[in-house]
This record gives sequence, C-alpha cells and structure tokens, in this order.
Amino acid sequence: MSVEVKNRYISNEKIDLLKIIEGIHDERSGAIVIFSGEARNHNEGKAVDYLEYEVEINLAEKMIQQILQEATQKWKLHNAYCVHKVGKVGLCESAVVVITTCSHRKEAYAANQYIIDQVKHNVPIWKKEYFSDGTTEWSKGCKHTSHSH
Amino acid sequence: MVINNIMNIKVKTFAALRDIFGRELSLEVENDCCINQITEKLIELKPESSDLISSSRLAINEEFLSGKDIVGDGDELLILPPSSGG
Repeated sequence: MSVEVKNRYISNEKIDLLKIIEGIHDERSGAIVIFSGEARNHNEGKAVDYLEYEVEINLAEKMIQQILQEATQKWKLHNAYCVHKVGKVGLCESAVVVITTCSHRKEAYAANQYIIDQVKHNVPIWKKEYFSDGTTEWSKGCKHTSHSH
Repeated sequence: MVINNIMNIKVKTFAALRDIFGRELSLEVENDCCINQITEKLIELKPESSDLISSSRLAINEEFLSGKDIVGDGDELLILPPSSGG
C-alpha cells in the first residue's frame, strides 16, 4: 500500500534509529529508554520473509499523540516520541520506535512500556506477515489480558 | 441523499476485512439506522466476516461508536479490526 505521509508518528520511510537517537539527548534527562519493535524471521513455527503494515492514518496520528501526552503527564517525562512505519518492513528493520526521556530510569522504562503496549493494542495499525513458503496472513491482533511478547 | 427513508453510507474496511469486502463499499440503509443494523447487513453480505466484524471497532469522523449509535446520510463508517501494530 502507499500512504501519502505528512505526519508526525506514521511514516512510510525507513526508520533511521541512529538519526533519532542523535537528536534525543537532553540535559534534564538522566535516563533515555529506546524501544525498537523489529521484524523477526519467524512466527509460530513458520519462517517470515518480511512484514507489511496498513494504517488508518487520521485516527492513528491522533491516538498516538494522545498516548504520548498521557504518558508524559503520568510519568513526568521530559520527552516522549513514537514513530511507526507502514508499508513493507524487512528483517532487522524497525517497525516501531518508542523513546522516553526522564530524570530517572524507573519512570522512563515504565512509560516506554505503557506507550508501546497502547500503540500495539489500540492504534489502528495492522500487520501482515509474508512467509517464506509463499503464504501470507494478517496478524490476529493483541489480546489485552494475555499479551506478553 | 435521503429518498423514501433510504440513505446511503460509505463503509471503509481494513486489513483482513478489506480482503473480504474491498477497500470501500456503499450501502443503502433505512433512515435512522444504527451501527448494529449496518454490521448485521455486512455479515449477511459476507457471512465469513462475522467473527472479524464482531471484534472490530467502528468509527465515524475519528470518533469511536457503539452499536446503538445512529448513522447519518453520507456518513463514512470505518470498520477497524483488532489492532496488530508493533
């Protein structure tokens, strides 16, 4: 799929993790937590070649902004950032990156986990797996109570 | 346009539901129709979509809706299967 991107949190460009990290240092922050959700080469016993993500972009942008604002207020973060790639994501490539910066690490870790959980469970983004045997499958989605991976 | 209490709404589907219905479809429904009546109509059209529609969220104008909410003529209804980002 092709998405015209003029957005802050959804991108169809490859996520440049090093470039993001370069700009994130902050003299107030004793802790910066970086999470990168990556395409892995297997799922449920099948070899995966690559992933593809689809999005409902207006809702996704709005919801990610709300999630970041909630986390910033709750854990008193200095900064919170999230970007999710849509379209094709190859192996060893970031599908989603979440960065939280805070005075102390405990809050930075907790906020980061909250943000990625909310993004995975609630934001209208969908993953399709392309397996090495030529088959494809839409991911069934997360279950709030049992999700742990 | 509303004619004889019949109105048109646009339905957009995503991911696995898009594979079943296509990206967009237009539905003729009775005036003052609620969301539940629309999802029932969609399931009638494609019975294989039943489980997925039942677990989907629905939205109009970037607002999530419940099954009893009423749809207006010309509304664009989004049917959003369970998220699987990340």
